[in-house]
Amino acid sequence: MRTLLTLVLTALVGLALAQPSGTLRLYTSQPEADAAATVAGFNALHPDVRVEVFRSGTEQVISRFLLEVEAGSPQADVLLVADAPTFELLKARDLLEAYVSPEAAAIDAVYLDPDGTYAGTKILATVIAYNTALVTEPVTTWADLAALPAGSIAMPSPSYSGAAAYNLGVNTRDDRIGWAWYEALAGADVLLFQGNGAVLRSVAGGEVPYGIVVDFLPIRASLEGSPVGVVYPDEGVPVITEPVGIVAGNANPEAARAFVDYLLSEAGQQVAVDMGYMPLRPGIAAPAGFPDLADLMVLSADAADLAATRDADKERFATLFGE
Amino acid sequence: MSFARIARRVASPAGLALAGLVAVLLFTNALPLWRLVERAIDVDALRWLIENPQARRASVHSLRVSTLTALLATALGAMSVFLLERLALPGRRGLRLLLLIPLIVPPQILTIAWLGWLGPAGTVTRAAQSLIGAPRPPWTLYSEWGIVLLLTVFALPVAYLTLTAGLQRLPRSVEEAARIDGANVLTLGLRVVAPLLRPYLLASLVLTFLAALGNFGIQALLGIPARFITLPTLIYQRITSFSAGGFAQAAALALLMAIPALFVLWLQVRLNRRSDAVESQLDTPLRYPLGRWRWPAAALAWTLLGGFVTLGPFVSMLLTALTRAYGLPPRLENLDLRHFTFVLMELDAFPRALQHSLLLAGGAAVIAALMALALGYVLTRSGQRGIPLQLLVDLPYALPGIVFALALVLTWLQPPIPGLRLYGTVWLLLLAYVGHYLAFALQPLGAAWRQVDPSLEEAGRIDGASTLQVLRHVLLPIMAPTVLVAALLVFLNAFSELSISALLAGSRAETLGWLVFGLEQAGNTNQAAALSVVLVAVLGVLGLIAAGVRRWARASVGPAPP
Repeated sequence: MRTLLTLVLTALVGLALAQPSGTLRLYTSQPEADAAATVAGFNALHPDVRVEVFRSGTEQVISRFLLEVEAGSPQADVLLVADAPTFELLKARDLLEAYVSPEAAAIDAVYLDPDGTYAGTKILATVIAYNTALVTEPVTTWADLAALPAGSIAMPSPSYSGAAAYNLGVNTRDDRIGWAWYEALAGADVLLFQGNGAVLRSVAGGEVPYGIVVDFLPIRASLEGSPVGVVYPDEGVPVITEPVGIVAGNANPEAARAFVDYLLSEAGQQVAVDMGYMPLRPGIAAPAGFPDLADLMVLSADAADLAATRDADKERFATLFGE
Repeated sequence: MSFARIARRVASPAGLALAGLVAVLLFTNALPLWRLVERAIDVDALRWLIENPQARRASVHSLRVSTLTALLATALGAMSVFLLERLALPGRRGLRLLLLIPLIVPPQILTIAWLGWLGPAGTVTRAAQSLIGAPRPPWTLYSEWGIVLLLTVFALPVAYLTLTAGLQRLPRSVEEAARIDGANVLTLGLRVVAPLLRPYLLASLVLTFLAALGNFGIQALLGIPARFITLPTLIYQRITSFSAGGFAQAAALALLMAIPALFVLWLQVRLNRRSDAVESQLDTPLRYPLGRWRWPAAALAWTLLGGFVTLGPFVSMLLTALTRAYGLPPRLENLDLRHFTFVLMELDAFPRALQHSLLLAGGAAVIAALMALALGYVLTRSGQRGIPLQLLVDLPYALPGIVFALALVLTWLQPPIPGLRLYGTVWLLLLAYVGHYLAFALQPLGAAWRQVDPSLEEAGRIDGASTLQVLRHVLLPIMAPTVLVAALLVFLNAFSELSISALLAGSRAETLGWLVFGLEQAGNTNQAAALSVVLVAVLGVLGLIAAGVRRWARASVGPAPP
């Protein structure tokens, strides 16, 4: 009897030890409500971890984190922000810890860092949005978009938006798009904005008929009733993945790894779907309004290569558009 | 001065107060600025600054829009003050409140409201377009003029409040004497009142210049589409490039902004030297009757100031908040209260953020006003020697919020006082607000001190009163109304602060501005607008309560100063 009790107790203690606990400091660019849902889903699996969230724009989050690093005491254990190129910059400075989650096996390697320092968590495709009150038959290709009359298009500026800078790198490496396409846009008096939110507002508000914007914004707006529609152009779409990465030398590696596992797991991907994002784990249905992952034609390029030419690309764009 | 004498001076109540003041100023302003200087002293960054054509272009643009804004806002502010504080204009109380709205709404949301009013698809633009039958909008807000217009709207309440503080202290006998001598209203305004208000006019010019120089929201929303780069947008670009030298470049640019700020302050001190002390009396304000011009004047003031500048954009913001989804025409079937329900009932962080913002803005207002009361006294008596101190106070306000916030990160990540951990707490925000908005309190109070005749103090001393007694019975009663205006300026600005909060608000340290920023960023423009309307409503209710308390106090105590 006593041995049995000891055995049970040992097993219980062992279980408790395996369960991550303590505090996990998360820096994220997820909107307030989404961040809360993400944390709630994680806590349902790991109730003993207290997640402290700092949330703001990707730009604010990363610049605060980088300054903390420079000052010698980073305050984040896990980062969850918009795009892979940002993580490439962090990786190049040895700020990330490699961790290959067992859950990553189910995910297309395109969305994972080969060295395991970060992994995508969802699909955010850049598409054409149009105002349904101004446009009845929308264009279906990037090429036709650039041939529209002057003053018809709004897009985020790569000088201010990390996602737009990523798109610039990918698009200019594609034979069918390339710099010629951006030169055509520059001639068409494109309205440049600081970010995707402003582009959606400009299109939905009727300032311009078309916008180049990350897909979930117009899809959500259209579900709520805004006069916007979405086109996934024939040539394909550049995709950012809101990756997650573990900070090198963090205070709670166990909880940090559990958090990465959770985001890539079926449960975590379902939470993303419930928030209205497209999952990147095959076999999980996309939310209403999105195409299926299998039907998506993704334009991509080597992440390290993109990071290498990022500054030069941005500068060429700024000169071309007279910024 | 012997050591004993210095020791006695420091040990006196005034000396102690001053020492405390300097200590606070060290942490709110001096240390963060020093961290920026440290970063900016970098050969590569400085070379970039000199060689980069963008930096040159941004500087020229920034100087141009800030100067134009300062001149326009102060001129319009002076006109508004005359209309609302000197003429018996019907409905002036309502107008006065309306005029403050642009100060309460975060600049980003204010700009979106104006885009709905005068933007490419705005109400006025559409009407004008169909009126003249033009195929394209006849103007665009995405331009240098659009930026100047919006910055002026944003700075107008600042100019108005600063100038009101001056007018309150102007003895009516001066104006009455001029009137008896046969001066008409125009001569009176230009030849008599304006010279007497000079310190306040200069204070208004300085404040509106700095406000325009450091504003990021308006310049980003209108300037990026216009491809009109300014210092705040370039600084933001450098910081968020996340490249190795990015922050050093941003710090160098931030220090570049100190040059115009320094020049403006030097000019202010020079021009102020000739200003006269006014024997201040607190009497009932003068109001000129308008006679049969009463109603036409009121109609004009309401249409231009109330309707075009404030109500139009505000109604456009209200409609955005009421519209089911962004971009739908504001027809009845598209309107409902869902965004208000969301903000008030479902947004968990709202009650916390409201509480934080009220406490932070209130705390910052009280601390900054008291600090500025003392600083203003010291600075007035020190002339040009005071410029460095004045710059220390004004520079954090001239810097874009993101730079100042990052400087605070560098200052407080490793506490400068061991054990004092403020990072990630609301207390760091309080510190940030005091440092950032102290300039708002100092300018009107500095101007007020300049008009206090030193003979008042001397008379008190001769009568045997101690420093504290002179302060309490002679100086404070004169200064009290200006202290209130200064506190109000800080409170209104800090209440919906956005750029600093977006970087420093930590876990459970939310503020209203941070909340607005988050909604806006997630693409929920309607909800951001609803929250902004709620902010205006909360302050409106607070304002009514304050007015009620004042009236009640006046009724129970008898006639009191206005």
